[in-house]
Amino acid sequence: MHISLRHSILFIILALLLLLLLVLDFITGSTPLGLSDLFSYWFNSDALNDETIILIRDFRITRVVTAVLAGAALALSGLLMQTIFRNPLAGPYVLGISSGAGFGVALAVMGTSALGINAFGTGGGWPVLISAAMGSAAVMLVIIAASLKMRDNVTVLILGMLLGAVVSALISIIEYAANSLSLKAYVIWGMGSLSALSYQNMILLAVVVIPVMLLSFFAGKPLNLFLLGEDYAGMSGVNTKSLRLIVFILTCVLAGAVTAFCGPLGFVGIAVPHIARWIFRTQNHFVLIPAVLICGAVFMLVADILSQRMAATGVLPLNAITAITGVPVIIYIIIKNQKSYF
Amino acid sequence: MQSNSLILNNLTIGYKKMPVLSAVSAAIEGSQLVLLCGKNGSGKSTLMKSMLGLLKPMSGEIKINGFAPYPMSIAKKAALVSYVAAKPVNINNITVREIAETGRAPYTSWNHSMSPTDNKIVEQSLEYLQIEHIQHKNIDEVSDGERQKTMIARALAQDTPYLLLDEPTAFLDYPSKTELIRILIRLSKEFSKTVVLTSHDLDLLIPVSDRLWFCNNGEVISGSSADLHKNPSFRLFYDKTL
Repeated sequence: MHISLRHSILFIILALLLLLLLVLDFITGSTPLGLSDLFSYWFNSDALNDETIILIRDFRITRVVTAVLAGAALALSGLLMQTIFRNPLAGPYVLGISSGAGFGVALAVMGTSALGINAFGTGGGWPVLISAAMGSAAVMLVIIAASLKMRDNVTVLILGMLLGAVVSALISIIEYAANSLSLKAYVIWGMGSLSALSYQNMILLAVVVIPVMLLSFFAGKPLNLFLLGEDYAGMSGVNTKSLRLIVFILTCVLAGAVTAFCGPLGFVGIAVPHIARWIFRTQNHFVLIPAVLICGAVFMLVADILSQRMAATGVLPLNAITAITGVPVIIYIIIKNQKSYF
Repeated sequence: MQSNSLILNNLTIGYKKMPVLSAVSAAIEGSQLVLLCGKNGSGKSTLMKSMLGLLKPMSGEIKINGFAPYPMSIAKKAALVSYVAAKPVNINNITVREIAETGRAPYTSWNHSMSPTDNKIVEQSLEYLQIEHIQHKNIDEVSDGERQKTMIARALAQDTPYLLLDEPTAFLDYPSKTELIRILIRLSKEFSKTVVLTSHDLDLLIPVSDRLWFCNNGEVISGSSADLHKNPSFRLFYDKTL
């Protein structure tokens, strides 16, 4: 494994861009905050009053870090899926994985209220997280089983979309039975937001997704071989069944955790890996994995800044911003890649 | 170095209890070029899959240098058999050389760092296939013939005594077919490899194959081309009169 000079330069540029956007996102919000406030928070917190400290820590830093984690996690899950399915259009949203996670959240938030048990609320920590991961795992299991039977990529995609539709239908049944308070919580969750997390939940999200990100580097070599096709990989020393299973678990955790906390953020997972491949001009996962992590964070920070700044008052739904920025990338891929994979 | 031996012993293979080929016995000793031929659906691919260890035999056994390919550890198989598929790999943003380098995967560590020896073997493979001048081109920018030569360079870099190819000539134009076949003949002679391939390019391959395995009506007839030309069902299959 060697990283070329070109790739090193690109990584440095992206890192600087990421840093710039981190600052820009930090100072963006309903209450004006400057960089000096951030420095005071870290080095001289006595100079700040309690409200400002809460604002910086529980709102801004939490939101900015969540954006980085969510963008990186979704982009990575998209990359892993695209390689495993050998399908440029695979991604957590398109394949219905996000809908599955949404179903899990709906059950946890509204299902419990319908049964008269205590409602968790959407920022609700472990129970919602596990429920979301199980929902995404259920959909992913069906997709994996189908992809083993059907080698045709388009068939699998259509199946994913149909599954997503069924899951959405189930969610609307739950919505019908839910009480108005939990219904409202769920609908707001569905618009996608990076601000719904508490500081503790942000830490929880980090604890779940960062180890997965680090683990994914160890799958770099088999993933590179998988690009050639499952038969080639299998004859080159890759245990394709184990790899599928591992990637299956990793993607469910990544997409499930982010969706549980931030809502269904569409098209990040599918678009960012293509942007990374386009910038770096490589299929080498040892380059692509860090590349999608940074590009995903950059993409999400831009989307968050747009959603914060474009509305005259309040915040635009993040889901709308990621769709509007992500979909053109996908259209471009479909038009460009008519003959080859990726 | 141990000389190659590929043995099919009373082998029955198929899917879901439906045998495709029954009671097959055949053997190859030493490095040879073996052509697996027969009509579509005659069981060529099933036999190929079984030899690759992707399919469990229903009964009987396959022995590749004394070992059954199913079940075999994935690492051991990667050191014994390399494989080339019919459909050329077509992905963007990956170079001819990068693909050839994946042939070294069974020998490299988790981060696929290439040792000087690994690099030398890859370079030799590219030179041998005469594609070193296009090694930095992307695989989706070269011709189908060059693409398939890249896959063979990759298999050569894997450095295995056996090379199995599933219809490697299927998507090639005529000059590329003949070139590829010349390469396969040289590989079996110069590298002492046992080369087994399926193909429908009988006119080109029958004269140069050391051995033919003819799949017909659930059985495999094995022999030299002279032997098989005496066989009535083979003559019916390979009837050149119009």
